Amino acid sequence: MLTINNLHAKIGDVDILKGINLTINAGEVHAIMGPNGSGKTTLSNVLAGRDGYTVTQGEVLFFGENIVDLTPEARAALGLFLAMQYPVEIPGVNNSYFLKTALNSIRKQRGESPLDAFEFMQLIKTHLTHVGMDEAFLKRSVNAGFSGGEKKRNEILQMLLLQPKFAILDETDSGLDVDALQVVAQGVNRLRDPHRGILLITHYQRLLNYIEPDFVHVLARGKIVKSGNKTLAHEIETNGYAFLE
Amino acid sequence: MLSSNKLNAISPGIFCDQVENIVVRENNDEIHVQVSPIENSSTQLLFVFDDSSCAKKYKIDVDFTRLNATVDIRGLYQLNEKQTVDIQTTMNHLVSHCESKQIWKGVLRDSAKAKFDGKIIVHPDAQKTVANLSNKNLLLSKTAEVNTKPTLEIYADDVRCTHGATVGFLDNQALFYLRSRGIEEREAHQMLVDAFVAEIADFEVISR
Repeated sequence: MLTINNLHAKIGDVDILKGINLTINAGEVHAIMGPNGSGKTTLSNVLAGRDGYTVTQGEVLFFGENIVDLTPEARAALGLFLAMQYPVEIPGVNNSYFLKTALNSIRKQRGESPLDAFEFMQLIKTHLTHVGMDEAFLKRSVNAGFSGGEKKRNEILQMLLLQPKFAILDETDSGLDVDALQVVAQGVNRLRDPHRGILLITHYQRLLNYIEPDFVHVLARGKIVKSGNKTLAHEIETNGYAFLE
Repeated sequence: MLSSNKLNAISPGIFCDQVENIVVRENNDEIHVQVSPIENSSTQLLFVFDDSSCAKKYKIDVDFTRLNATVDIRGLYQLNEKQTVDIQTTMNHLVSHCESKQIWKGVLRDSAKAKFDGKIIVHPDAQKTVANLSNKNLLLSKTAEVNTKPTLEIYADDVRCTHGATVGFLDNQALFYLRSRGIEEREAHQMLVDAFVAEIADFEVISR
């Protein structure tokens, strides 16, 4: 599904990713752990197509197509989704309008007909209950004045609505209380199926108690230095990242 | 809420909830709007300056000479190519217990240029005046330009006055956020511009 080959990327003149290799197959959940500054967020941003990063070497194949030169919206249309560490507040853009526009833009790029207002409301209401939010939430501006937990729920809501083929969750667990963490985990587990890939990027092992990964990788200084199964996450929880030194 | 109000088109790009106490004079490229609110009144004014109302200069004077008058002004200028606009507003608070409120927003594309001078004058007899002025500008190109100068002249001591101006570009993080959800660049762009002007566009306008 997703194959990252020898990916190098920099911000300005600073090399951040220094040769990432990773293959994620349909149905698999991978977790990338690593200390601060190891390149975790850079990796998720490069995968999603954010400005400000230069890919200097390597490729990212998504269903066989190299996506490094595609726009963020084209990647989203192919089925890639990034739940962000810091969801952006957009005052003046109504949440419901945003969600409907996003869904219909993706449908359009896929050659599907747009949902009308009624169909959209039916659909979004089901997903709202899954993330434990009421309808009033749709009338607010995108993330504006949302608590940390609400922002992350909104990310999961978008993910459930857009039904991506591959979802990246960038430190979605950071700063969440246990209730919100469970909502996030339930959302991800709901999406987990044999046709979908999931990449969890996290600093802590805590999230992995709720979403059990098939593979765990450790990112350090822009490279994956160790891979294993979920026991690797437990080792890190116990011993920290000291083994990297 | 201002949004539920029906406003009358006084002249191209100029709307008001009443037709008395407001005089619009045109002189070549310059339009002069003079508002003289009566006692215990509230007046709402909306200015929309774009392609359809391409005067070069607008001079808007509000003289508060009667007690207890409120004037609420919202203005939007959207310019592109090499368009220019020069807006001068003067809230002249001569008597007490009046309120002036102004929200002006500018969206400038290409090589458009705008000049905004907002002056609030509170005379010695105008105690208990409330005056607010905000001017926010969104530049959508590196060659667009805005020169904004809100000023306060206060000669009374028991007043509440605020003014502020901002000039900024479109929020790249917001743009990426929208695009990462599949929204195409042009549409994401438009959504953010619409959000910026929403405060002004809330007015419901009808033509006479």
